[in-house]
Amino acid sequence: MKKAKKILSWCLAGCLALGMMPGCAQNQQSETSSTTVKDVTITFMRQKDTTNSVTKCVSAFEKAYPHIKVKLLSMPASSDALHNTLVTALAAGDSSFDVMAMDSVWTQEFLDAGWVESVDSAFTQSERSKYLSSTLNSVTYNGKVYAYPYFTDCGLLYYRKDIITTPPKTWDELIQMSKANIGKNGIKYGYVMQGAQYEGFVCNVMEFIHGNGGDVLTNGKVSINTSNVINGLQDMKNVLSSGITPAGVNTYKEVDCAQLFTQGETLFMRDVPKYLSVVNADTSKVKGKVGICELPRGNDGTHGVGNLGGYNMGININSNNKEAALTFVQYMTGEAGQKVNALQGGYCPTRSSLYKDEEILAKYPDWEKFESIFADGVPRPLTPKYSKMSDSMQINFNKAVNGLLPIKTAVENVEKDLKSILNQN
Amino acid sequence: MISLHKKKTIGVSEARLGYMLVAPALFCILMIAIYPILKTLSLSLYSMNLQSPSDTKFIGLDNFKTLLSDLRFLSAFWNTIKFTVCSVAFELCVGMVMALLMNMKLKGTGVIRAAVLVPWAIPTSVSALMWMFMYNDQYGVVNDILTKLGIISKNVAWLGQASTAMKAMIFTDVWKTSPFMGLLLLAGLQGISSDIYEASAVDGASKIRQFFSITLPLLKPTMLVALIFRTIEAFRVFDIVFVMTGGGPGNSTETLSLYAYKTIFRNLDFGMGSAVAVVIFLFVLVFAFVYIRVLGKDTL
Repeated sequence: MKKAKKILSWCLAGCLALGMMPGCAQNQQSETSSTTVKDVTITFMRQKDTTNSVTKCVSAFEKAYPHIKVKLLSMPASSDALHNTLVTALAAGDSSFDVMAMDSVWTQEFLDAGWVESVDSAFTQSERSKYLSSTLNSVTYNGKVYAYPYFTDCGLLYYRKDIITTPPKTWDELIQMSKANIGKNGIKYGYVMQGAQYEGFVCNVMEFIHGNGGDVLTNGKVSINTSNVINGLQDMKNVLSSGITPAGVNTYKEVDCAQLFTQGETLFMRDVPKYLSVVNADTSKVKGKVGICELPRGNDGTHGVGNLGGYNMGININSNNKEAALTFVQYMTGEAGQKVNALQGGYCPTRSSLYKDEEILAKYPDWEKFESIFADGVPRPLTPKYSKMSDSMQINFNKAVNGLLPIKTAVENVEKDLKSILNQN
Repeated sequence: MISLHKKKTIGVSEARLGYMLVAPALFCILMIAIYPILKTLSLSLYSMNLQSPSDTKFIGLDNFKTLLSDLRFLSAFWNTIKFTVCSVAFELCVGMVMALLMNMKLKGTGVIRAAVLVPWAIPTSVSALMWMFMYNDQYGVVNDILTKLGIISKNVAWLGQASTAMKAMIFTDVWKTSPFMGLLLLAGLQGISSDIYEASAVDGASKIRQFFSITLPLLKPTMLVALIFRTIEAFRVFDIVFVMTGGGPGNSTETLSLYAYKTIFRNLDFGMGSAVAVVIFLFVLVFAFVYIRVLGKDTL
């Protein structure tokens, strides 16, 4: 019995010691293999792609570069979830992934934290000129370029072209047209937008603000307490309280709006380009009856302003395969990669030439309008402190348009918060 | 029998073997449980933002002072209290009814006991998503049923109004966790000997008298455990809120855990986020203490 215990304890010690062995053995192995075989495997972390376009792009890349294998690591589709996963990994200096997809609104934050490898020298001037300038801005930090724009996004007005011939130019017109059509042709609601309390809501708010000639920051200074901003928010509140939206519009996100719109009971919808395929799918009751155009503007604005978003591809500063990673990023964001991404997945390219591509226009005739709509679009403030700013705007403006706080007070709260976040007191 | 002397000469005493055997487990517990708690406590005393890790500095209790004047924190705190008190109170009542029903000697109680567990067995985020669809203003079944019963005349966006969103979430939580409460209480009920009931019946006690004079006092230890469990869980509520409203509308349903999560992961403000987490921890501690003092005076 005693002996058995002694043996047991030694076995235990042995096991503990052995536990460290495989690690050593593995290190030796990888050292020898890297000198003999040149094959590298890189890992690409991105949000889940339901369209399979990314796997198509990756296999085309692997065919073109047989010595590089790409492992795809799919994260949840929400931008916040991807952000939080990446932050945790990057802050810990994780090197297990080489390439990451970054939402354009938090790209600046990542660049500021020093988590992304610079691609300034590899990204030639002639290459840069091929990208939409708004997408390049989001990857530029202190005059240097750190990532490649992957795909872009912009708020659009979807309308029923079988009912409306000329889409509304202002929010007031939108309300009037909605009221005139509710009850006819099976129309129950005038307008749906993203009203739930989340980042998508901030995008919608920005469109009302920018569309009325206002802005959150002007030349980096907080400029939110102006009549343009206040009236822009008033436009939003008017739309929401005019009775043309469904009761639950303040719980809707992009996909809820698209689902409702496909039922054929809604006249107008604000959504992003990727839902064009959803509203025109065979299961949709409005297939072929949907037109898109620029969003309406406020009375003090000159034109409608869509909110620009999208994703960039950057290289992890701790990656061990930066060279292969760069080759991969350049391929994916190049002409060929983006074309597959557009045709297969409906992602809007960041390279302007693709909006004139015949194959793409044949598949998506509406895309010919995108270049001018995107040119009028404005991104959310490009600053490393964006998340905190967005937090304050999300809460205060959501309260304001839901009638829980006067607009003026909400704007003053946000002004105070932004000034303290940006140290502009 | 082994003599003490002999044991020493061999070198591996029973005690030492014991320590060696539990050492890996102890080490794991230390790393998994104790280390993060201590780390959070220490982080709450620092000003630390992941975006600028070099600016990290010790600021003592400043984070807590800031929280006290932070209206958002106070509203999150109030929301958490509302959620905890209402959901735990309702759960206790519903759970008690369930337990009493299941304790009756009827046919098919086995099946019922298994069936009531279904809500509890569904992962919270899944049931939250399910309820979110049920509360939907367009195709939600809640609106449909209430309209057919004539209670409401037009569809209501249950999660879209500050006045109903919190109630809707509390209802979901009660639905989900009452079975757990019920089963815990049932275990307590079955521990009460039937002799006592028989004796009291002979003395002429009514069923109601029996419930208040026998069942409730003897159920106190079980109730204590169930209440501690549920209060702690409810006070840390995260998944229901995160999935169903994300804190909206107008931040009227944000709870402390959601606030801590947003502060840490969205704003990368680890110092302040940890301070919120510490507040949650302290309150849970206070709750447990109060329960044990009030309910457990003569039972523990």
